[in-house]
Amino acid sequence: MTRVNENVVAALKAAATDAGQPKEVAQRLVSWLDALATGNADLADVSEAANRIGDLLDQVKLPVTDLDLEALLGDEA
Amino acid sequence: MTQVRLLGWKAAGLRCPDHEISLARTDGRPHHVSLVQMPNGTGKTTTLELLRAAFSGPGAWVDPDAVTEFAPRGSVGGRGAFEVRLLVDDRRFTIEMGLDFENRRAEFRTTWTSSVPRFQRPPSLLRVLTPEFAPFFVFDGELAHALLDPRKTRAREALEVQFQLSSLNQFRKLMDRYWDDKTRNSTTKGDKGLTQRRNKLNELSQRRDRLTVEKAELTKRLAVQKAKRDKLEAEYKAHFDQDSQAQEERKRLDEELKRASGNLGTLLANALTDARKPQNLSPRFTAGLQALRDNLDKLKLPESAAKEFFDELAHDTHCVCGEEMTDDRRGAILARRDSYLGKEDMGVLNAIKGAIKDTAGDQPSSYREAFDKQLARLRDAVRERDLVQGELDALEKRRLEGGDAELSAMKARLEELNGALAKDAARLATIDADDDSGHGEDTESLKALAKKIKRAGDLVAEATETRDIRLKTTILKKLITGAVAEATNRIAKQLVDATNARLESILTRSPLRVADVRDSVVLDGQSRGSPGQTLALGYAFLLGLFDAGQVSLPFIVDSPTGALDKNVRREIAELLPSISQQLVAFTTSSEYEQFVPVLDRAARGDVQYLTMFRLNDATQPLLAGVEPDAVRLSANGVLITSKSFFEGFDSEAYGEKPTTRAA
Repeated sequence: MTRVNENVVAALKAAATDAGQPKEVAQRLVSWLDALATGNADLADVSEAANRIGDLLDQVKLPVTDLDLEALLGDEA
Repeated sequence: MTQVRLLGWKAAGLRCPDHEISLARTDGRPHHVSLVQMPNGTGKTTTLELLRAAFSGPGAWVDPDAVTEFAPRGSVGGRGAFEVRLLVDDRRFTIEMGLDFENRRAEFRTTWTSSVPRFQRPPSLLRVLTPEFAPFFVFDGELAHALLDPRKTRAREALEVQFQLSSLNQFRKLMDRYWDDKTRNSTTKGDKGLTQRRNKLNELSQRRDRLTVEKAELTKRLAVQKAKRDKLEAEYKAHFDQDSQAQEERKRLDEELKRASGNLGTLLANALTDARKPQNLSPRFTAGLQALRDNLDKLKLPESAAKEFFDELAHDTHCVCGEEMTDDRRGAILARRDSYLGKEDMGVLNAIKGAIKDTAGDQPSSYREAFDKQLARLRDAVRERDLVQGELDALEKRRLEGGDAELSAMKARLEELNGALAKDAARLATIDADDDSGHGEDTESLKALAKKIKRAGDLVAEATETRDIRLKTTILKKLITGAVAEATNRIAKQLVDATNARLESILTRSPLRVADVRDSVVLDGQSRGSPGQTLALGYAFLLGLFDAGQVSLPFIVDSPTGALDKNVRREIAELLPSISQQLVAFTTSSEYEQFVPVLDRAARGDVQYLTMFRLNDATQPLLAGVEPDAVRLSANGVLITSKSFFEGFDSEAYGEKPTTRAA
């Protein structure tokens, strides 16, 4: 069971769904927060953070068309 | 939830009296409530500030002048020490804070898994043991006001830390850093660069496809034209030979030309081979090679022993000198073996020396002289070939001038065919060239193009990966921003409801309601409350915050009822034990009434009563009649661990006989 507050978990899941991302994205973020809460991760450990971000990026799906990308990211696309 | 409990602290050489306080019961666990009664002027605020500073770490000491404010009054220089003992999930964590008053410096030592001379916190407490968050659990009235101040962001800060939203915000910064690290060596980062690279790759690929088709057409055409040319050439020779005298002459000259060309070919091949040998080009090269060999001899290179010899020796039971091979000796041999050349290196050096001796070992000038003679023979062979070709051309010219129109037409056709063949062959040679022949990106060599397409493909892949990382990190950061906003709204709504529910039960006579929690707590229908309302709001808000957070912290509070009227005190006393599983309150005797007895009941009697004051002539008589076991003396202070003494202590009658009060 995660130590992350239920509202934070719910908000991450909702944000992942809204962004058309698989549930694994929210799960990875919750796991990271949980690891921080239990002392099993450290934000000052750059290498560990890079591994987690690399893993997260592997889960992120890019929209298929440029139009979808623009709809998701706006000017940042 | 990570459980953090305060076991006690120790102060020495500071503005407050030297003292050591243990908050633990006999079972080693801390009391639910510890009341530390200290008369004004005893260092109550100093002790609270020291606790807050110890929980905050070095970040609390950015102003060096702040250090001297903790020095004993009237002292110059010296050092003070403050130690806090904690239980973190049943493991001891100690923070030692040394204050160097002379150099105005604070030093930390922490003990968790090991003792280190710095503020190293257990990872699960990284977010809460900070200057920003410590004031939320080492609480005073100022924070309660700050929570309501719209110019400050204390409410949002508390919420972000306690619910890990600050960690999520930190993730975004780490993603920016990840992107920077990943693309530091990338030659392009934007979409424009990717488009340019894709266009370049497309252009190169299209050119390769066009040249591949052209090469196939050229090869086919060359074969057809060559066959046509060979046939026409045979017909031309047959027609030429119709003149028998010319035929004989042509055959003789053809034979001559064949022999001269063959001779020239042989000489040319030999000359080109010999031109690659430096000793044939200049006596200086020969002398240099000979000097290299002499110097290798002088340096005794290669050595007689190869490093492989030492490898084998190290694994023998005895050294070549007969001594037993010990680990020390083996280590020394293996460490030094790389100073020797390997067998392959020795072979190369020996081959160089042998080659110099065999091919350049004579008089340096002799090689160039021999090569010059070879070149002279080559020139003669060229001349001979040209002479025979000239005779053959003259014979053909005479034959053509003889008026044979058909032969002339055949000759013209043959020349036309040979011209076309040469043109196509040259074009094919360009397409088949091994390199770009200096044309760079505009090359028409298929081999060079293949290399450039590979490189362009790699650049497109790099730019594509870069673009994907950028888009994915952007998606993630946006997702996190949305999640933080959504989580903040959800948590704020719950906090508002919980705070209002508590305020309703505390402030029955002067209600106060919270409308929202943004940067600060927003009141419903009013901008500020009375001091009592504000303090009650602070407790109610923090209770909600601690209830839902990830870390259960001790709640340490100075003058918990401060400006509250007596009716509200009772409500606060009933509320406070539920705010945290450990409450440490610094009180004065004036706060006793309508507070301590109620608090005692609310905490089901698990209350520790401590009274601390300076020890001097005026306070010495207070010790009379106190059980000796309840007295802890230090050089300048006294701590009494007796409930009855606590109840009877009247700080306003400091030095007078304590009077007993009823609950």
